[in-house]
Amino acid sequence: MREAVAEAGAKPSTPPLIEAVGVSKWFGAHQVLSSVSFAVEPSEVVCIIGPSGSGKSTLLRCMNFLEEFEEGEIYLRGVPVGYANSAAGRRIRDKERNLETLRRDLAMVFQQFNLWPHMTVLDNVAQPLILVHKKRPEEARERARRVLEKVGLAEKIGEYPLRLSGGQQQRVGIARALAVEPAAILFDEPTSSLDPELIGEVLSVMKELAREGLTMVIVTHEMHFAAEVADRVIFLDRGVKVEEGVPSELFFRPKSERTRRFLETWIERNSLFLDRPGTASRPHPAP
Amino acid sequence: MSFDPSLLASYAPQLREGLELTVVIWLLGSALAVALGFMLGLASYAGVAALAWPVRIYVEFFRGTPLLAQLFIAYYGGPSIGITLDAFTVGVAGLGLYGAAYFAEIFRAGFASIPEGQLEAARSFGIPRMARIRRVILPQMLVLVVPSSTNLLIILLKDTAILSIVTVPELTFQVTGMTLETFSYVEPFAALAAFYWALTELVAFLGRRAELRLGGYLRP
Repeated sequence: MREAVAEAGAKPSTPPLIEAVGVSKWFGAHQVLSSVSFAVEPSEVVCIIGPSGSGKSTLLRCMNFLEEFEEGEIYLRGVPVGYANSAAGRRIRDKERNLETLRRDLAMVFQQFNLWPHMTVLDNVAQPLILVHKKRPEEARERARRVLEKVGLAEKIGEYPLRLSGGQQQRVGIARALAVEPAAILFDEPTSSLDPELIGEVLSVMKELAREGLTMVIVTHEMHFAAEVADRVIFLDRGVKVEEGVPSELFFRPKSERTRRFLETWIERNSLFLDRPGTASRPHPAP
Repeated sequence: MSFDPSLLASYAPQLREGLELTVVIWLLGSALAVALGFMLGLASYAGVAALAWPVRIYVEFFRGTPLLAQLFIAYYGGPSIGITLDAFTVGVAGLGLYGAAYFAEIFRAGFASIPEGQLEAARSFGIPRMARIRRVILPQMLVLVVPSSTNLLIILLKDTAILSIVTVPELTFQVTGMTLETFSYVEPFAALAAFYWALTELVAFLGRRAELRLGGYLRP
């Protein structure tokens, strides 16, 4: 399948880890993504920001083909995601089998955690290893135990997910994703359904992972977090990639008027809740 | 008319025989209903196009017509198309096919009630379809359907009484025979009610226990 890339010729010899080229998607007559292109290199942290309904989550979900898209291509290490070309050159949906293979290399963390409530925390993390990566159950549970320790949940391994706080559940979600040692983890608004006081524990785990060089694509509303950990930020509005840049540029010297307005609205809304004016006036630049 | 329990004692062998047959037919019929209902429910959940209409028609027919009519058609109408079945077989098959229509709906709803996000998570890890059904859907679905299944099993238990009409010598059949011989109605039917009630209480008790044991993960 890599030949496809070689034929294209223009691409560098080592393709990006994830590459989107002109991705468009419609829900019926409504266009949710308009020719979005970007690339993610190994060890990069890319944050996707934008107003609600801008297509951020949809774009993320196209990367592991939880969403289909009508135009454009997404490549994972140069291998096209979700579609193959028929003999006649027509675009056809890839076999389920190939999708499963491809998804082994990506893991996802969901806004609603999407843990399996009937399994213990340990089994939630071990299950993909057993079912997909063909690990022996003891081996899978051993690795699950190590990863859960890493996210600070060593004491909760025998608990059922619904008995944990939201922050703990999301850390299980992150552990489940980490355990399969994916090439990249896709985060779909990982803190959006958490109570404010639980957001910090999840973000600090994610910061740690970013420091360790994990490749991450993060859809988020946490601007401070994005400013601190992202290598690049993509601003999406109404399905269009309006701007892309390093945090210090995009947050502090946005080129586009729309980006600037979006950030100003965000600042206004968030400073309302702070007693010391000015503390949230700008996201702090990465150290 | 005074209540005479000794009447029951003299019919003890018949009552016992009837009770045993009731339990046997109920167990066999329920097993058939659960097994067939599960397959029908899975077929309609999985959206197998070729099976959609046959399953729909099956459910609508067996749910929409009285069990009594179904039994009469099978028992008295069967021989005219060359199918002669004894009363016991008609009883088990009749109860099973009838119950399967209801179980199909219980299971279909059970399958459908697993949140989509959980299945998405499984797909996002590349977990194959069969493993998703086996490890994510089934264990939860089987817990969710316990209350409604208990309910249906109780209904089927009491519906075995209808089999007396097609000469299955189960409990109701025996009790009816007893009234014809003794002209007493109160004692036999009081005993009949007590037997069914005791059995349904037992089923309800087991159902509640299963619900508590299996559904432990749902309680925070």
